[in-house]
Amino acid sequence: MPKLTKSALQYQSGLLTQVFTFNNPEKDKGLQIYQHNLHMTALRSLSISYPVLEKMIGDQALFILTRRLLDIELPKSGDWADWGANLPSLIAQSEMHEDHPYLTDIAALEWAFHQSSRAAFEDLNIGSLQALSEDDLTNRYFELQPSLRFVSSVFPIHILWQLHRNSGSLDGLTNQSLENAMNTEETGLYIVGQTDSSPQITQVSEDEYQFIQGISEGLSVAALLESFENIDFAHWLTKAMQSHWITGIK
Amino acid sequence: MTEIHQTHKAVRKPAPVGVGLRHEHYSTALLKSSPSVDFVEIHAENFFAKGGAISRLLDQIVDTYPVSIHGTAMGLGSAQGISANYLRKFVQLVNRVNPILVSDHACFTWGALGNNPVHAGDLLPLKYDQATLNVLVNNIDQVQQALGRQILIENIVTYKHFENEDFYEAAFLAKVAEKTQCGLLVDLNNILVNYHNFSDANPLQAAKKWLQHIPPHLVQELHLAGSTPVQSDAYIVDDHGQPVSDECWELYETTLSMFPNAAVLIERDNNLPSWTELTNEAKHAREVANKKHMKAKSLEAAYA
Repeated sequence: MPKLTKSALQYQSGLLTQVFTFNNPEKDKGLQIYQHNLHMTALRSLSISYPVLEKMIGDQALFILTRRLLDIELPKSGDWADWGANLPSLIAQSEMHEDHPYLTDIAALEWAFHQSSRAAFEDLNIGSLQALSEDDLTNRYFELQPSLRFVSSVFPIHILWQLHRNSGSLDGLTNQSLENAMNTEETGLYIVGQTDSSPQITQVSEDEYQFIQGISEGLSVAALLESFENIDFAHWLTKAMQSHWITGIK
Repeated sequence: MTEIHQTHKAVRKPAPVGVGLRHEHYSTALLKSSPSVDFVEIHAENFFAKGGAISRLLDQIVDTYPVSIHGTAMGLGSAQGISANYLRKFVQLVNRVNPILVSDHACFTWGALGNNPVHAGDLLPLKYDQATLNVLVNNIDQVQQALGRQILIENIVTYKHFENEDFYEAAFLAKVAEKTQCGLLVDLNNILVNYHNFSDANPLQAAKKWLQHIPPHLVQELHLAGSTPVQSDAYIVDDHGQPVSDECWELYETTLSMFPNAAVLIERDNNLPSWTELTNEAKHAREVANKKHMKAKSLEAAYA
């Protein structure tokens, strides 16, 4: 690196370090503005990525979590929409986890939804499905929609998430509706993916979940059929096509 | 420091006037194009998504208005260099939109904390020295080559004051533009805010002097804005949270004879007014320019 560039780098690294060191007791008012800007921009970004979670925990709690998240996850892409993946694990380690253990999974579902909503949608290559009629499927693989995410939980997070998403504010939710949601029977297994209109969260059975995870882990069609003998393959394929989970076979 | 004195004889056809298009205004602004708006400016990073509603929205914006793409994260002065991944997304966006203007800031954003790459998430100030000039020139060259077109660089508000820099800010930017063939986006409010925050001089007079260091042909766009007032011992923050200030309007009037062809943009990011109020500011900018234009024409006629 040329000597001159090194001197510019030295100054810039120094200022960046100061901005990201929130507990520095000796900060001038300029540095305070940079730190405040950083904190508020990060907060705004989490409000956009996690709108339901914010509704559930409130803006004060999100303000505190934002500050903590900046310590463990640095923004690095130049697009704030990419920042915030570690919020679910941060919540799991926070004081709110004990009283509200479902929040971690709500956050994980919401992050999956956020990511899917920004991902490209690929059309199904229907012609490629003809390969399924071949005798030997050991070298045939399903191709998944690039936006697909998998989320699991012991709580009925889909109904909880939807309930909060559709309500204007927390005040609009009755205790009865929350209790009903908490007692809803869900499989706790969800596939999140982009469709041709908007991202969808689909609750699936254990077999369906494992089957599609098998695809994402690289199992061939032959290996999938052998591993999941009990699955109704024709039914699964129809559902996968209608839900836009698959884009074809290679 | 050599001052460049402008001697334009007449003001030509008024330049296009636009507004920053923000999320809160999408539904109103996209119903039909506003006659007060010649173009809208979008922030590049808000449209980096590969698909979904954002992508469809972008198509709608492009169908309704001419678009200017303004980056807020490229950090053209970053000694660490610009992220290749970021630049790839930026290029894809520009290629898709084919904007009337492309711009970003004379600041740095990329760096590292220890071995971990980091993006500042803000426009951090450059030192106006030879080392930074080299960095900025190299990065702008790289971006212009990747885009295959010219970009504009914008002066920023700083909250950090340096003593004994090699260059005066305006002269630094002019030098960068001359070396790279990039254009300049002069943010009038940013000049004023910096003088309010760091100088005892009259901000308006100092800003007018600042502008005289810029060769007129380099300036292709002007940003007009206002900031939330603060207590006298606090720094004004560049929050774009108020209508264009009276001081900024006055400075704008001065620039009309200096940079007659520069596009004009009303910037507002916080405390957003209605779309109508915002576009009325654009209308006002056009009326000010037209008045100046008419005055210059009648003077021309009188001396013909």
